[in-house]
Amino acid sequence: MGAYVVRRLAWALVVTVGVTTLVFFLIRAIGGDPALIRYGEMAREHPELAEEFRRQHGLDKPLVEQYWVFVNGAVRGDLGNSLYSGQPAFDILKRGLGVTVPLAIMSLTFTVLIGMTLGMTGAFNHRTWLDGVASIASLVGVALPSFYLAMLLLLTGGLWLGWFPIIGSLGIDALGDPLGTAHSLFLPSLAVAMYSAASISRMLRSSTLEELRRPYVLVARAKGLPSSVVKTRHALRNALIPTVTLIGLHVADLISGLIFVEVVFTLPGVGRLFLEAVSSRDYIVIQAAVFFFAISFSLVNLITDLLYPLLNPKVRLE
Amino acid sequence: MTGTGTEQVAMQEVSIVRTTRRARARRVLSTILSTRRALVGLILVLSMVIVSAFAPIIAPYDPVIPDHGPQFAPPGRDFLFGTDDFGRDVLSRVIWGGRKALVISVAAVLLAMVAGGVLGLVAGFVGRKVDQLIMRLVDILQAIPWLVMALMVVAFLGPGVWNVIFAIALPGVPGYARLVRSAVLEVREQDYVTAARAIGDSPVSIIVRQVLANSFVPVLVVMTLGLGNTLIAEAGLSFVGLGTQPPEPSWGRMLSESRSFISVASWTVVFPGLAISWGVIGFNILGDGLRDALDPRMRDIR
Repeated sequence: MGAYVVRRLAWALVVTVGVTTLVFFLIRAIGGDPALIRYGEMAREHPELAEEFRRQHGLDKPLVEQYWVFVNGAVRGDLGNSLYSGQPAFDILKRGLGVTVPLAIMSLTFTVLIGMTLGMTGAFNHRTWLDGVASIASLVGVALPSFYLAMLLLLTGGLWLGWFPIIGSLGIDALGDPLGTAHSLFLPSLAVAMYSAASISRMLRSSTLEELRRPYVLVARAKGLPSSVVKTRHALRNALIPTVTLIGLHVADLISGLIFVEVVFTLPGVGRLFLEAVSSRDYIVIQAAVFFFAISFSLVNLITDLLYPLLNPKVRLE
Repeated sequence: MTGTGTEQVAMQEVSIVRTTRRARARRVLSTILSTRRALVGLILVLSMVIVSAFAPIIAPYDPVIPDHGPQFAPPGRDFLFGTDDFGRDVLSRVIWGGRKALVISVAAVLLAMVAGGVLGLVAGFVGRKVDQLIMRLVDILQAIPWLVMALMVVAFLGPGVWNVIFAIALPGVPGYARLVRSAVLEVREQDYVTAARAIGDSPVSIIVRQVLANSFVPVLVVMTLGLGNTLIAEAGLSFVGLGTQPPEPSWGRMLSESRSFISVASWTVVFPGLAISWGVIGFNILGDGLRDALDPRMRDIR
């Protein structure tokens, strides 16, 4: 068990470092010269401007040295300064986190709640109308891209019904006003969550059905255990093993969804920051955002990894 | 159905082994046609393919030239899906946008399959260090949100069609690599491969042939399901302005451009999105149906 935890911790670290490193070198390999983007035509007439810009930001140093500087800073919480505004990337990131963290937490909660409800409804009412409804709901969920769903929700819940704010950028203060935040992030997080919720429900449904056909379920029934106990304590519990892993992997999809939804609802979060940084080739901010994405992915996966032994005694006994 | 599940599975497996390849293909087709869901999927996909193929004939107006009609004409007899801010026919733009999306998606799925397949073959064959390295790389690739990767690739390399295809193909690679690798590992353990190795034959050609035969079905299923994802990815990239460039119509761009008119002309938002969902649902149901038809074990569960 102890060895398992250490192994998962190490893996989370490897993923964080691996993703960040991969992206660090990728942007420098194919990203072109940010100085040329910054100064455009002027760079040709005044090459010394571009030269100075590169020197100032350390972009003229060898790649390995740049990487070393980045790692050294990152460990101390210094992610470098934005190539454009000159502000510390960490501060820029921190402003975005105020929006993105509550949005991400709400999205993940919706994903799990909706996914589990739909999946269990389908599996426990197999081949009834309830199963049909749950299946159609999850099919539609998979087929609605988050950016489209976000616009539909904006149109219905925001414009037609007027129940929710249309622009979320005003007054997101999760700590000071949790209820107001939940209200204004309700539609965005629903839009982010639906795709993953739907695909998790499909997984949970089919693996629960598979478990229900196993011999041990027959034995449990033959022992005279009530059907609800067999379904939840036996079948569902085992069906959750692959599902929990899937939830962890879906964090990557949730992040993609966050970026789209922040654009649609004009939320000033990390997703939008990343998008802007990519179009202006602000390497430093790109790195900072990716660093945050990688940490979130690793963290949620670490949590699911640590939940795993609770479900699967095989791992616990290792 | 009668008999216990295992008996059925055994019998079906025996019957599959006995039937010839052509008979199997016919069986698969008839299973697809007899399952209502799969049939719906096939119809959705085929309709999309046909409409795309005959876009020049079917689309009532030119998708690019503005001023066919008034600005923001609501859906009606002249303009089935209404018109956009330039007075262009939304229906025609949806049709032409679908044509492009379909071509890009198919190309991306093929590219992902080939790249992932090669990685999986190499990992499975060479084993040890190389296997470890490839699979860890695949794990890390899976930890990067597809949009993050795709945005960087297209923003840096430029929004050309090939770059878009490459960017959309990337996130699919891990799935195929895993699938093909596990097929290799499975086949390697077969007795006849060990026998071939024992008498000094190179088992490589046997394995490759077996792996290709064994993984054909699951790969086909994953490709069909993957087409749904690539449709979304293509639309997503143009949504953030990095896919198909204006004035050429694309679903994602139509959505993002109509964002500012959402309150005046909701049809400019609703129809391009419906088109995406149409395709995605089609490929998803068809993929599920294919799996049910090709893998008898799944038949009772679905």
